[in-house]
Amino acid sequence: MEICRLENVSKSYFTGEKLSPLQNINLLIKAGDFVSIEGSSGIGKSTLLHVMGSLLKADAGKLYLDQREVSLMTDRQLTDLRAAEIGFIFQEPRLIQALTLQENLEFTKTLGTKRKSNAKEVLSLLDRLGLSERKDFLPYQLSGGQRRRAMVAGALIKRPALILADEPTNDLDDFWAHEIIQLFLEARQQGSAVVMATHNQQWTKAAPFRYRLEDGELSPVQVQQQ
Amino acid sequence: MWYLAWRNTVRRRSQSVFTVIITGLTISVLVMVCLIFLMVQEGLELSTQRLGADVIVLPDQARANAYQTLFTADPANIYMPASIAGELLKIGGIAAASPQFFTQTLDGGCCSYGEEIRLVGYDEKTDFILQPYFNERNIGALKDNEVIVGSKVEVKPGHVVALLGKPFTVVGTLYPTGSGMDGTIFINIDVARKLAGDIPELQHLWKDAGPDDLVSSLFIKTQNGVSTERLIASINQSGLGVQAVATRATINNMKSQMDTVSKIIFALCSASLVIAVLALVGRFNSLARERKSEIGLLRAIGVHKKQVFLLLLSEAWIMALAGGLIGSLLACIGVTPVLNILEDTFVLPTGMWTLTLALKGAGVGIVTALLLGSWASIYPAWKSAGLDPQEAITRGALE
Repeated sequence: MEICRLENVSKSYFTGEKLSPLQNINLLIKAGDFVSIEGSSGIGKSTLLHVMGSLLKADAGKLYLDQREVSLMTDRQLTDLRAAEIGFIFQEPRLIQALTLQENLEFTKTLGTKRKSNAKEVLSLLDRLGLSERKDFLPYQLSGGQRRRAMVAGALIKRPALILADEPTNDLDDFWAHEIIQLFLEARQQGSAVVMATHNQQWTKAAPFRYRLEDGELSPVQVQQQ
Repeated sequence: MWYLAWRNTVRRRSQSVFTVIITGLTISVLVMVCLIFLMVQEGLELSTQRLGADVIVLPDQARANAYQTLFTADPANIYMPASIAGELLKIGGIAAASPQFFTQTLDGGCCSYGEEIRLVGYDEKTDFILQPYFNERNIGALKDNEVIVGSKVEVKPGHVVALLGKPFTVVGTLYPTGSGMDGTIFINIDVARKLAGDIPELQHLWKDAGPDDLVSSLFIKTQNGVSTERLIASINQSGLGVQAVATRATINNMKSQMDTVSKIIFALCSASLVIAVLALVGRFNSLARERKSEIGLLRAIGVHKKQVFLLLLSEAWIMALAGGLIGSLLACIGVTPVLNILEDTFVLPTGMWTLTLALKGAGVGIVTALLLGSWASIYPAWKSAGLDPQEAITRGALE
């Protein structure tokens, strides 16, 4: 099932000079895909993920999320779509500063729904990421690595259709980086699509679909059917 | 979302406290001014409704001040011949005239009411000022050892109070009038004269005539259809050495003075309100700027623009509510001391300080605080809600 589709998407910036990190990008993401986007720092991987997550508007081309063209959707529809279908892991760990770790996850989990959060599910995920003892900590009381893991938990807790992970293994030792890749693989098996942008090739090998972003163009590195 | 607003407010404690202080101080000043204004207004209204007399006649202007006589309970040993009443009746147009005799208790002492207070002797045969109260409470004439006290005199009915060494039973407390009656002890005019005649410190006043031949004031009710102004003019031109003033005109004069002062005070209050709004706009703006990246995160994970707007507005409301409550409380605590200072400085009729008035003041304070919070936070909240999520996330981290 199609989750996300980019058709000839381009994006440019003017920061003193014109930068065009995305030029006529075409990409199809289906349920259960695990895609890695490789490329050196500053090449435009985050820009691509932000466009895919409807946080950033493309200058040209079309983006389809949940088989609906994003440019035809209202802000309200897009926001609802993000709440229900997309899990973001940003390059810089970001959490709601006033809420504890557990509350952060519960808040994210219940957004856009009238359901109450299942505390058991939240605690189980925190436990999996080695954060159960930090559940009552505020974000500023966590280390960089713990914040990163907390963000991953935040993205996974609502079981989104599309997980957009920007450098998810930064700040992490091999054990936790491996655990997170493992969680992505499990999410994929449950039907989520994972798009992971990273410059660290150690972890891209786990992704069956690998692309490299270079000079604004996206090219397949290796396609492996599982 | 309310929980998040609450946590955001509590979590940024020092910034929230600063905002609460600005709001609280503004509200305390505003509520205090409102309460004082209301109490003075109520005092004036009560004076108009309950004084009962159309004209008050006092010894001539050089010796007596009508404002002081009407609106304060300051002891005033002012006298004119009792025969004036008969002379005035000859002028005509007077339906009733009732004399009063002023004297005072003495400051301190083992056997007296604890502070200097005005004693007023009223003439039960002609009185129409206290009579409505007596009728209402089924009290006949006061006996020689009985007193009635004004609403601000702190003794209760049934108690025995020593006045100038003699015991008197308090048989009632008058309803508040907003006038000098509130701080006065009323006794029979003959008893008042006798007490005054026995005060060694006042003997110099009785050189020309004894207290039995003197009165301090005459309260006059005009006949129907008689012009109060014309009667006053006649009395003042009679050459009897007295001054007549219209009680209503005196009260109205006081009202117009109050109106002018009120306008100035309310202009200053409005200015302080505007300054507070501007200060709070600055605070909420900087708070919103500091949280740009977090607002970007909220938008990214699926929080609607409207929810962001309401979140920031709710935080402002929480702080404003706290400021409003604290400010109102401070105002309620401070209103009596401030009023006492004002009463010591100016001639002011004041109504009663009641729980209803305190609740009204608190209500005004809280509503104003919430409006203040809303005005100050609407623009920053609207601006934050309209932020592009990606820009807020990426640029928010840089700012």
